[in-house]
Amino acid sequence: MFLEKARWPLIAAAIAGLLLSACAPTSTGTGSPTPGTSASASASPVSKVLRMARNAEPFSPFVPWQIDDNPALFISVNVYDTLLRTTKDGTSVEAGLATKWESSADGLTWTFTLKDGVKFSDGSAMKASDVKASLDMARAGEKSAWKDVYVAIKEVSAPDDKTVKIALKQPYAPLLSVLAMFSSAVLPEAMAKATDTKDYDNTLAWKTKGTGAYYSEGWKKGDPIILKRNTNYWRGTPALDEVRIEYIPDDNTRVLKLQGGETDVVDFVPFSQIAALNTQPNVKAQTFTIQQTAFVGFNTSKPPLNDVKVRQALNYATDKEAIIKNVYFGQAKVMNSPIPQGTYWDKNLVGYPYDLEKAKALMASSSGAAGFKMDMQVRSGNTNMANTAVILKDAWAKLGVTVDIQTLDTAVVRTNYRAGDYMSTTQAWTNDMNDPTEIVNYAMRGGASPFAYWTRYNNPDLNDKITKADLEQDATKRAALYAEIQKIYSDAAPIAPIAYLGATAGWRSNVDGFFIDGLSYYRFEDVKFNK
Amino acid sequence: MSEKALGVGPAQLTRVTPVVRARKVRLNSTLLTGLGLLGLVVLVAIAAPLLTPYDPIAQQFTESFLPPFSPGHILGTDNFGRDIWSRIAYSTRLDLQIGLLSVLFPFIFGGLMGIATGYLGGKLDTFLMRIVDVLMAFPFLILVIAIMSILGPGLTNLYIAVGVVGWIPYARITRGETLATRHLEYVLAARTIGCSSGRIMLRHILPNVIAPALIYVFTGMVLAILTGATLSFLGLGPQPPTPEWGAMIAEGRQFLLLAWWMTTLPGLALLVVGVALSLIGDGLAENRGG
Repeated sequence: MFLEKARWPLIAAAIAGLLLSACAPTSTGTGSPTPGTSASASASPVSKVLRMARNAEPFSPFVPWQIDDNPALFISVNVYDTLLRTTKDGTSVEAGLATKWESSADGLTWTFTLKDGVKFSDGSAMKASDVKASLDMARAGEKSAWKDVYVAIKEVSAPDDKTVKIALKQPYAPLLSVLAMFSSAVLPEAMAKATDTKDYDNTLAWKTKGTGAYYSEGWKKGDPIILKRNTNYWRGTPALDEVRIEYIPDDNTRVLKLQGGETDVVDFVPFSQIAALNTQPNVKAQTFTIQQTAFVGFNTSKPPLNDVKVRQALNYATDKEAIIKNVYFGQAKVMNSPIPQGTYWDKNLVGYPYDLEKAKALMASSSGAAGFKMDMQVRSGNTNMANTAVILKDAWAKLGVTVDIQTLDTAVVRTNYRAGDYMSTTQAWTNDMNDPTEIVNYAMRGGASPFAYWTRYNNPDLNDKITKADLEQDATKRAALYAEIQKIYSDAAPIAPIAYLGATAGWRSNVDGFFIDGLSYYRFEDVKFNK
Repeated sequence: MSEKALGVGPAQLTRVTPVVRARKVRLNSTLLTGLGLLGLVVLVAIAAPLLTPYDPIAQQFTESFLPPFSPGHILGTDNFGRDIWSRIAYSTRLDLQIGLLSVLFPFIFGGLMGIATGYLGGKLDTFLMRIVDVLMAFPFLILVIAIMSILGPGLTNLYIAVGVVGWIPYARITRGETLATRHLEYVLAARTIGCSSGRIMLRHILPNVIAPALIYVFTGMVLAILTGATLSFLGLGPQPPTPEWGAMIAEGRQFLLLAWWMTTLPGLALLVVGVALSLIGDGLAENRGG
């Protein structure tokens, strides 16, 4: 049944292609981004439907600023675009829908010039008023999940169709990174405003109308997500007619489907299978570097974890290399700093190399010298976290710490750490923007929610430095400030950093150009089948 | 009290009961095979420390993913280099305990409840059977998982959850049997000579209706062990690194293509115990029928 369904569009496209090429004997083949040449491309015998199997289904609607889950986000970046884009390595920004941008001398007004001739997937032209409407919804809309990152913006205006002006309350260095975030994407004005009304039917939001490489005609939970090629795409018509994303939650099933040729691309290949897959013909697998961390968070308000020596001792007794080898099968890097490997990450920070003797000495001179019991709350279903906890239980027992692993439902773990009802918990973080302001404000600023990633660590001096780094315009000075911030936080050790993780994917070797960028997004615009 | 008033001594009553109670358990081949298998499993559980060369939770990273029949590790090792045979053997203790304890309370409570409601009838019967209907409306595992998610993970909560739901089949079995028995002549006779309801239920009805429930105990144990394994598979049972078959299967699942023995071997252990208990149950049923 699946095959029958998949073939129909192909047959239809082939017939259409034959008819068209009969009318226009000088077929151009490939490469031209002009809309309308898609039919001649699909006349080629190679399948142009990319089948992907993914580990999760979207939860949020495809409205960029309402998105709070990765599966929806991965769709969003394929159907919607932003003024600026994060570069592939994830460490800076480049032109997107805006070709030019400049700031006033005082850093309070930014002017963006939009690219000419950009159209939405329905063929209507994109105007500055669309950008204004979308950004207004993102920063002040009733349903926006990302208002916090836009607080520095005072006003967005559209003096003419090609110009967008953003006025700030105060100079704000991370602005360009914020505008490159998925939540800053542009929707047609009417649609943007409609999605935020109270009685808006969210199921309508699965049908998209963006400037991205693809568009969705709608989706129902349980069905595959079908992305259709946007022939109006401003970067040139994508090579694939369609991307068909199936939901296969089981890791082994996804990998077997890939090996059997039942799917072309899979995500979340288990770390243990990367090497084995690469020895097989027709299949490739890879770990992409993304800005993701895995660590253990301590509740610094619970004795004896309120003693910095106890936390440092636990850090020194953490054999990160062993965890990386046994849990991540070498597909991760030692985490030296509390922030991901993005902009302003201090690669020279020493952190806590494994040193059991030092750990024992520190613990002996601390308030935890007599040994203590500590719960470690782990989200059920997350095997990597569970395995990390099992290794840590063994490792920290050498310091006289009895770790009590508690596998709990994700929602329960969240409630507990928000309420401060835990001693330690395994955590992970992925940057949503390339600038460190997001992680630093979330994970290090104390005194108010989220209480330095719920660790209850609060250092007023560090809080001031975090504010200063947000205001600082000079890149060199910001780098120095962030290095200092990382050092102070690392020394205080409210967390035990473990590993910088990568995002894994596997694909059939006839798939070309699949790539997961530094913020873990993947775009299908450059993906094609070779041969 | 009423017995004495009627001049009927206990001796006369006990003479009646053996006639209907005494049914000797005859050994048949099904029963024997089951008992043999279970004996073997119990032996492993008792002698686990003597039979296993390793600590079941000791990690040895240099020896991870060794296949079965590797030197020193007869059944191989897991991702942490822990000896699978040691983990399976120690887990036997836990799983048998789960099987036994989570059936004990439901059997006693459900059995007595069924006899009481069946014999006494009336409003008590209507009330309790409605509770049974409500609990029956939910699939067993769903209800257990729901209770577990309220109580939180762990072994004690597992017993509570299985106990709260597990008494229903026993109550239904004994109630049905009691309904059939309560009008039999010996019950009527006991009632005529003035035996109290309690005495009739416990001394006359119980021995005659308990056999089917007892046979169901073995099915119940299999179900309880599987439920325990399922719950720890879902992370709700004993917490890592405690060795438990279900948890071992869950841990091994992520390495299914790399190390099949991590999942298959604890699964086989589960199968052996399941077959042993089922054979005993079948053997007893055969005995009763024949």
